[in-house]
Amino acid sequence: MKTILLIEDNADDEELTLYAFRKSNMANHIIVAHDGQEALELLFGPEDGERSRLRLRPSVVLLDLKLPKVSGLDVLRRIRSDPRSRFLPVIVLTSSREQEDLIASYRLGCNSYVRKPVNFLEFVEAARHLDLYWLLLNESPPCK
Amino acid sequence: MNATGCFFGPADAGDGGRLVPWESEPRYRELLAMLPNPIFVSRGNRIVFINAAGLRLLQASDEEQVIGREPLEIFHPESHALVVECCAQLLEAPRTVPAVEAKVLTMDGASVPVEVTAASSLSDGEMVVEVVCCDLTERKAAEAAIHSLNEDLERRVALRTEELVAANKELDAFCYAVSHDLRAPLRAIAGFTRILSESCATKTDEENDYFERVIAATERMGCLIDDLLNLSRVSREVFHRESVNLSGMAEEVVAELRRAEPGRDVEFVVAEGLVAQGDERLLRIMLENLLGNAWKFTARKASARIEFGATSERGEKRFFIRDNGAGFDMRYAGKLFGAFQRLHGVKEFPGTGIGLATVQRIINRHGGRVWAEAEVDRGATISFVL
Repeated sequence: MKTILLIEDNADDEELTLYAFRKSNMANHIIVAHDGQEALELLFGPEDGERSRLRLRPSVVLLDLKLPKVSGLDVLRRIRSDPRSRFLPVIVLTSSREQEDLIASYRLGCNSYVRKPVNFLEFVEAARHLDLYWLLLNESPPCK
Repeated sequence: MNATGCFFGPADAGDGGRLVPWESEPRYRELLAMLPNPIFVSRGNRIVFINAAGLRLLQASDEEQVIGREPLEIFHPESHALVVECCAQLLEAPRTVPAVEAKVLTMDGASVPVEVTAASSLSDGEMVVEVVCCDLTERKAAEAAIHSLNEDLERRVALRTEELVAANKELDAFCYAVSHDLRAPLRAIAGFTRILSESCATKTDEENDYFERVIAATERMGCLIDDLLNLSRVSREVFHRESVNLSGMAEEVVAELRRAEPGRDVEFVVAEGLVAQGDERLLRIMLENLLGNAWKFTARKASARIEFGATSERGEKRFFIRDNGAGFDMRYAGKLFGAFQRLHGVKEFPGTGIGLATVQRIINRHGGRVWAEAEVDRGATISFVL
C-alpha cells in the first residue's frame, strides 16, 4: 500500500488533514510525525548510521514549515541532501504565504507548495487533488 | 592685478625711483593702520610695516618686535614650505598669491591659523610684498563645532537606523506569526464546525444557519488576516522603480475578475499606452484593489461600466478609474482611505475595509497622491498621481 508521511505538529491540523484524506476515499496509509526530528528518525532511522535503504519509503511527504525542534525547511534540506531520499516527492503544506517561505522551499527543492485554506471544504478538495495527483497520476521516482 | 596691487600701484623695474604709495602717502599708511585685517609689508625680505591688527595677531606689544625681521620668521615652521612656495609665485606675473591657509607664530610661541593673500611689486629694484591676513581662529572653531555636530548626528542616525532595523525585524516576525499562527486555530474552528454540521443529520433551519454563520465568520476573519498581511507587506517590501505598462496590467486584472465571475457583464474601457514609473508588484496590488472595488460596486448595475484613463493637468499625469456603480456619500470621503473603514454594509457589498488603505500606502511609497469623487448611485472616480 502506498504511504503518505504527514509531518505536522498541530493536533487540530493533523486531525483535519486525516479527516480530509479519509473523505477523499483514498485508502492510503498515513503516518504522522509530530516534529522535524521525529520525521527524520522515521525516514532515516534513529542514528545517522550508514544504511543502504531508507527506513520508511513514503510515496509523498506532506511537510509543514513551522515545526518544533528541527524546522520544516531543515527537514527538506536533509531529505534533499541524502542520496537515498533526494528524489522523494515533498509537498510543503503550510499556513504561510510569505514570499520568503515560498522562495526558500522551492530553492531547497520542494515539489509543490500548497497553502492550507481556512475554508474546510476547500481543504478537503485540496487533499483530494493531492491524493489523486501524487498517489495515482504521478509516477514515483525509484527510491532506495 | 588685484585690488591690493592696484592700490599700491604697479611698479615696473624701469620706472626708477618711484615710491610705492604707502611710503609716499601718509594717508594710505593711516588707512592701512586702521584696517581690521592684519596687514604687513616687506621690502627686500625685511618687514618694514605692520598694522595694529597685525600686532594683535602676533601678540606683539609694539612694532619694533616685528619691523626688520624676515617675513618667514612670523610664520609657524609648519607653514614655511608653503610660504617659500608662495614667494616663488610672487616673482612671476600676476605677482599675486590667492588666499591660502597658513599658520603664524605669535610672540609667545603659539600658532594661529590664518588665510593669507599677498601681492608683490618692484620698487628701486627691490621686491615689495604686501600681505593681508585673516584670522581663522573663530572660523576654525566653528568648523570644528560643525564637524563634531555632524559626527554626533551621524552617530544618532546610525543608532536610529539600527533601532528601525530591529523594529522592522520584529514586525516581520509578527507578520509571520500572524500569517501562520492566527490562521491555524481559524482552520480548526472552520473545519470542525463543518464536520459537526455534516454529522448532525437532523438540524433545524435555525441550527443550520448558526453553523453557517460560524463558518462564514471564520472565512471573513481569514480574509481580514490576508488583507492585513498584504497591507503590511506593502510597507515592508523592497521598492524597485521601473517603467510599468498600466494599461496591460489593468487588462490582466480585469480578465482575472471576469474569470472569477463569468456571469457578470461589465464593459471595461482602458486607454492605451498608460505607463508609469513605479514598483510593478505594488502597482499590481493597487490596480487589483481599485479595479476590484469598481467591479464589486457595479454588481447591482444593469449595464456596468469601468473606465481606466489619464488626463494631463498642470504638467502632471493624473490617472483615474471611474465606475458607474454604487458610489458613496462625499460627506464620508475623509474616511475612505483609512484601514477598516467601510462606507457600505458587509451584506450590501462584502469587504474588509483594508483595500483603499493599501492603495493609499502604495501611492505614498511612490510619493504620489490619491483622492476620490463620487455620488450615491452615480458611481465613483478614484484619481491618482504617481
